[in-house]
Amino acid sequence: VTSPAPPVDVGHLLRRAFAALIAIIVLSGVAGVVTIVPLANEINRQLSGVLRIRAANGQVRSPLGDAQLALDGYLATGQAADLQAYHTAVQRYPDAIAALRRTTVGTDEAAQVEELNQRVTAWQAAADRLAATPPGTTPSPADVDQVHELIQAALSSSLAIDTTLTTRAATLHQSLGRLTVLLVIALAGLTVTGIAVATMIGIATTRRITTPLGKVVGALDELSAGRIEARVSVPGAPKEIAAVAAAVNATGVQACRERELGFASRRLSTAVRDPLSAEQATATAVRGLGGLFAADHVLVRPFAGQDVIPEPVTWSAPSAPGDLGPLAQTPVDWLPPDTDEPFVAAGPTDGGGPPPMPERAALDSAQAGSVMTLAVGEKNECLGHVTIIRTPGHADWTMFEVQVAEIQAADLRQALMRAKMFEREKRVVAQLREVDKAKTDFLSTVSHELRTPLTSICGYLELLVDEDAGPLNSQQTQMLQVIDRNAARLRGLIEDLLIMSRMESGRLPHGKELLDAAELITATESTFSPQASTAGVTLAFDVQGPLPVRGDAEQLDRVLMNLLSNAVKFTPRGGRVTVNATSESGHVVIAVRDTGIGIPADDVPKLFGRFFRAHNATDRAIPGTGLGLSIVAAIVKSHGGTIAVDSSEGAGTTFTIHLPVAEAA
Amino acid sequence: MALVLVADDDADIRDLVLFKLEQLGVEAISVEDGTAAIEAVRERRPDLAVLDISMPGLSGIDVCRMIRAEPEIAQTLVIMLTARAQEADVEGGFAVGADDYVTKPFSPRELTSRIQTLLNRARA
Repeated sequence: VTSPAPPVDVGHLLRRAFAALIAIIVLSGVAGVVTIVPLANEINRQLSGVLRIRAANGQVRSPLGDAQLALDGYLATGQAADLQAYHTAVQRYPDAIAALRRTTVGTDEAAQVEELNQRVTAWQAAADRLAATPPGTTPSPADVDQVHELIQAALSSSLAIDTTLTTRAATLHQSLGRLTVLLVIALAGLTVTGIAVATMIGIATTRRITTPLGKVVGALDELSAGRIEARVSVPGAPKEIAAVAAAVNATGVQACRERELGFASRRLSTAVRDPLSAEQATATAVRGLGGLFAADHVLVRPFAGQDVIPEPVTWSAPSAPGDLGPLAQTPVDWLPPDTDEPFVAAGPTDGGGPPPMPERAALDSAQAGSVMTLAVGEKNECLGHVTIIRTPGHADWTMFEVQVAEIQAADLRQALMRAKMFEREKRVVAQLREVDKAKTDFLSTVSHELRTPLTSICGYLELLVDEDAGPLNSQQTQMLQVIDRNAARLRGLIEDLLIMSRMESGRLPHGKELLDAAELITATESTFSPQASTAGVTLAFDVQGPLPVRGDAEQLDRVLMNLLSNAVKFTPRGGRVTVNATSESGHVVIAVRDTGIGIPADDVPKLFGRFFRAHNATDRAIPGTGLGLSIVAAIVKSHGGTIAVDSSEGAGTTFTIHLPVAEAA
Repeated sequence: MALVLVADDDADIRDLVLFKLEQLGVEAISVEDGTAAIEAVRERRPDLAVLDISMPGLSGIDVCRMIRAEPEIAQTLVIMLTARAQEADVEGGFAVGADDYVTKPFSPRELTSRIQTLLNRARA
């Protein structure tokens, strides 16, 4: 495991990379110069030495050629001038050979020079002898040939030196050429190495910058995509990138904290809104806010004039310093009741604005550090104020915390208003119950009080009709029938009222026995046949039994009686009342159809309402209480069924009841 | 001859029932409240008592309960009269041992026929 390099900054990395590049360029130049220049100088020095030797060698051959030429002239002409020229030329030789010797000291050519000089010495001895022959004398041809051979030998030596020098110069030129090639190769190598090193440095530098930057960008992408658990770790990254990574991580941590706070806030909202009493909601709120914000004190102070929060509610953390008592007794009259802005401060005496002195003193008693006070309520209805306190040394409020606190204040307000409404509703319900009980008692009493006199009326009527008190004439019988009919109506009304009141108070007995609706329907035939024939109405039954239903026989019978008596009652002479009953996709369907006066379309929706009577019924003075159909509808509903009406005025009406078919036990 | 006691706080109803019973040849006496009713049962030992449930003082239910509690008169037949044909009243009546009940407004014909039925059954 290698420990990460100490962090550096991006600028430093780039400077280092550039410095390395420049150093490589300079170094390669210097290396080239330092290695090539001395070598080239040496070669040049040697080349100029060769040139000097070659020049000196030429200077040696010049007097020898001149002397031989002059000697041959003298021997041919015997001229003294030629002889003189010979001697002059010979005298130039020693200087020339001395110069050649100087130039060849320490060289490979020194031996050749000595050989040349020996050959010149041999030639000069023979030449001097010929020169000594008097003018006009012909020397022996052998001597002349010998001198020519000797001079040729001497000149050959000199030329041999030239040849050697030419070879050396060529070698030197070759060396120079090789050196140049080497230099080019070395420079190219250095350049390639430099490029490679520079590339490596570049890659390394880029890596140290782009890799961590890429991680940071990745983490930022994750964060912005909502995956706020994303964190970035960039060990050994440059300082600037490490700083950015730390900032990104801090953002993530903050987002997580805010999310947690958001979750906790939602849980608290639910808890605060749950209870139905103002006391419970407020107590839950102060305790919850304390936990939510890691606060030391929380209190809710009632606003003057409202009746929802009866008294201040406080909460303090177990080990919190300070006394909340004075603050609880200080009214928040300094925060405008119609403001939406909470009071947020890093301390009770912050700035010199609000709060005023009594509040500040009370905050001091509570040892308040950071304070937040929010109104609970809406613009025109302030219920109170919630104050959240952290003691000094704890964190100040973040923007998010203030927002969360505002939401909580709004939730508390909602809970308090709901509790208030619930209390009001409870009172109203209790009052309604009392009223309902009074109504039931009243109905019960009235019915009792009505039934007793009715017993006497009907009883004595019966005695009279039965002629227990003596025979009656036909007029008396007719009159007594009128009384009997109206007494029966009165009985029916009292009966309907009682059933209605019992149904509303839920005290109507409701059996659940298995019944055959077909039997119930058929049984009504005998009840209504006489009535129908009296009214001149045809009564027809089409019942496809058995029709098993579960319910209360007496109540279902009441339904049938009501519908049939209505049908007969509202059908003019010559009309027809049909009862169809069958079972159809899980339901017993009972239809009571008449060819009566029908129901005006406007009245149909109100038909099942209490005491409602269609206006064509009242217009014709057809008796009725307006309770029958509402009782029918209530009974059908309590049996899990539905009732529908289809009517056209003047043509007739059909009531259709659907009741669930009872499963065989 | 059988003796029937009629207890009702309404004189018209008492007279109505008495009239109908006398017409049928049944001996009948009447009282107007519960206290008088239990005393009459103890003294006159009627075969059957028609008791209105709601009477001032002792109710019909109370009287019926007392009748059933005293061995000497416990066998007296009881028909309850109620103006409130509610389950609670009917059940209350049967719970204390009434033999039958009739709801107001009742038909005198029906009441006397029920009385006769009970008396015949007791005699048989």
